[in-house]
Amino acid sequence: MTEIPIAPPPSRKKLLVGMAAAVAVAAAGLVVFVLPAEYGIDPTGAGAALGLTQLAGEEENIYLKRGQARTNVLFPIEPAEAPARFTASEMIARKGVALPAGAQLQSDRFEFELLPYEGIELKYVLDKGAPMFFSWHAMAPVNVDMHSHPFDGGEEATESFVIGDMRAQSAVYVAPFNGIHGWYWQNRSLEPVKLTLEASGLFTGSKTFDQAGEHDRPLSPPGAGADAGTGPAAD
Amino acid sequence: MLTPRLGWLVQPRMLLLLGLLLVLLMPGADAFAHDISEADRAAVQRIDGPAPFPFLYLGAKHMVTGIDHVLFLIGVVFFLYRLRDVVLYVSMFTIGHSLTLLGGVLLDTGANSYIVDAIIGFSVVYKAFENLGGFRLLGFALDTRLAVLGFGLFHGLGLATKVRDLGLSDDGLLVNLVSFNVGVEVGQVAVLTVVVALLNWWRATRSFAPAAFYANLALMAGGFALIGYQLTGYAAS
Repeated sequence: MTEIPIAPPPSRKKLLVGMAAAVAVAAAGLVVFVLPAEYGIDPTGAGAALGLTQLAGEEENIYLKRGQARTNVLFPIEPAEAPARFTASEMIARKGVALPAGAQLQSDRFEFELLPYEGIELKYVLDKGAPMFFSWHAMAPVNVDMHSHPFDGGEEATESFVIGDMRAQSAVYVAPFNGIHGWYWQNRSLEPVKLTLEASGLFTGSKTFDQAGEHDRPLSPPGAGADAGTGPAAD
Repeated sequence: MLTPRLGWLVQPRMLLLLGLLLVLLMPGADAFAHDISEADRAAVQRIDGPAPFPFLYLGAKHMVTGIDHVLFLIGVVFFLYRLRDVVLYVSMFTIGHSLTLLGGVLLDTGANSYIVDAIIGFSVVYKAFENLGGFRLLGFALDTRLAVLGFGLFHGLGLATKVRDLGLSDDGLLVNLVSFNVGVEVGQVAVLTVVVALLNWWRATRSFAPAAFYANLALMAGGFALIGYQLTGYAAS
């Protein structure tokens, strides 16, 4: 029989005090460091003061709160609401958004196949007040964050309008500021998911962001010849 | 006069604590949330068919960077100085976690990972309490080997959850799963080598006996922190 040498037990009092200290240390470490950093739960405010809460994605919620506080930016279109045939400018007008006289809408089509756990971000360059009609759908639900970065104010000033798992979204969008406006999609399933987006609006350019960084992409109007169907470069 | 006053800084005890801290901090940010990282997950999902070495590596990496398993192992071997005892207790742990790792994945049984990980945190508290002499003080006589085996079952359930999160393809499942399990044992041996060597070195010094109490309190605090972390996650999910 193996005898494990263990120091003589401490007194009951010493053990209890020690355990109380262990609980206190654990609780303090949790409340001040771990919970703010991991979950954004910050009862003492120390996590925010130390900058830990940003690790928890708390900032995302701030962005969403800021974006959703805006009115007259996103006008969702329910599937039943769209007539069989319509133009983007009709849809924009239907949502009560005025187009500047003589405005020439640009059209674009974006197709992308998201591999498992892959993400892609698509952005349009829109000036403040510029409208855009868009409609995208995916073959399976994807995680999406529709958000915009202003040119002034940096990443900090990001605003999110919709975050969630969806397989389609149609709306008229009116840019709340000069900047880039669009979507981050992530496939959180084990199967590849094909994504298609069509948009028409007063945008002046388009960008994609992937693991390799930022890429300018030319607009690819739907039905504008054989090249249009190939969509933007995948990487 | 200054030298003797600062002498405690270069005591083996301090060096050991530093060494332990380094080992614990090595995985960096991964240490606390030692989920299989997103990049590993994406890589695994491209694997279709048997791939023993990637899975062996992931199993070893999970063990070495998993602070909960490491703390429990430190607790288990804390007072073991004979190699035979180390092997006996670690075998108990290995049998326990292998059973539930293989069984959990093959039978596809689901368990809430927060609850399982909270129990793993509790296993650290339990072992520290035993090392502190708490059970002898209470007049309990529990068979430590059975306790290590029992908690090993929960550590295996936790491992099984992590493997299932990887989303393994059915093609080559058994080979990959066994490779992961072998990797866990390789990682465990790597961790134990460092821990047992440091403990043996420390145990030979006079500072061990008085400081062992506090070291186990620190282990216990780590276990409590893991429990709180996981239960909060459960409540928030």
